[in-house]
Amino acid sequence: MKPEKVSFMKKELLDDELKEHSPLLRDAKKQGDGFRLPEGYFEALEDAVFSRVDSAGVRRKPVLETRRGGLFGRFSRSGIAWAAAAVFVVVLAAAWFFKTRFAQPSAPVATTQQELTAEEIETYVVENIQDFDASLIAAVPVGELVPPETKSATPIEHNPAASDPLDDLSDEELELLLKEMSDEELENLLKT
Amino acid sequence: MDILQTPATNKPASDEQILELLRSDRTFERGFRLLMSQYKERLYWHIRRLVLVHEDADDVLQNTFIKIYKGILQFEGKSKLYTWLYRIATNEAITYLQSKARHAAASLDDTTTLLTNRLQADEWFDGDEVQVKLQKAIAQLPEKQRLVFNLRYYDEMSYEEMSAMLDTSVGALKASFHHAVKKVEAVFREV
Repeated sequence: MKPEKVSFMKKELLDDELKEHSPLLRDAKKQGDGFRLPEGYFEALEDAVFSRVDSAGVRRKPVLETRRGGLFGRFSRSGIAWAAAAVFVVVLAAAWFFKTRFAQPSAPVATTQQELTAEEIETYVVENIQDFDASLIAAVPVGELVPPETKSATPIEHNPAASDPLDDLSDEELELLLKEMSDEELENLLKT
Repeated sequence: MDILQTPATNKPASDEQILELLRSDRTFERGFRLLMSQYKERLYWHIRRLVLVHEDADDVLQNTFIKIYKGILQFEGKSKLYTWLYRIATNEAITYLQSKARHAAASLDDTTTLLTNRLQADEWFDGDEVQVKLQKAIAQLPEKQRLVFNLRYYDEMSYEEMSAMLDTSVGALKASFHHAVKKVEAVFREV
């Protein structure tokens, strides 16, 4: 039976019922009820409801359907992303391994040595002196183990082991110089 | 037949089609929009005749749809979908009226006056004297009788449908309606 026909029958039954029990209300019904609506109310209602659903934080998020069949169809998107990341890490690790294992060890060292100045190497050795093997340190000439700051604080002209200007003087000149010097000046010269 | 592949037609979707869409997360929103478009007018008028004022009816209707949105997956299909929806709408409307009455600390008589006063002030009501008188008379009915009267007189619901919705026997509903009709008519004549 069609719904329109059912509705018509219901109406007819109600009409009969009212006719029997209250003809007054039957007539009043035909005049309508006086209720009105804002224009476009029902069209805007759905969005208004969804807006309130959002405000209440209860909106259901649509789930993307995973593809069935095919090689990647069996996995979710996040699964594929994790697999790709794992492959990338393995490739990177393999590249690093082969590079370090088969590269000539002396080449980069030599390059490094060429790029560093003698002063930088010396600073490095002095700063890391405790890390060096004792026999290696013993093999280095003593003068080369002097810390750079010590060396810079000790000007070359004051080093008694280095060339002294007094050495260039003849005995006569030296004797003459000593005669002209005061005791105090002589004392100072001996201290240095 | 797959509902999702059915071309759009003007034919209204059946409750079964709506429920099928609601069962999947992917099609839930589409199903809910379909449910709203199918039932919004019937539910609105049912609510409007209980609360009378458009603004209140709009509020109650939106609350009703939010309740339905949250709870639709608990609908077990033991009753018809529209019966379940009407029940929620009725409960929302009655709760709303009760809270209004509590807020105004009003008795039943006062609530009736409050309702009809608000109705006459509603810009979305332009009833004539007869229609105002009728609404005043209906507003004076006890809550359950008013509900039965509206469902039968305005929504033209059959007694069997009302019985499923209100968990009341058909005989009791018929008696209640006839009693309500007599009361409304009596008040209608007086006013």
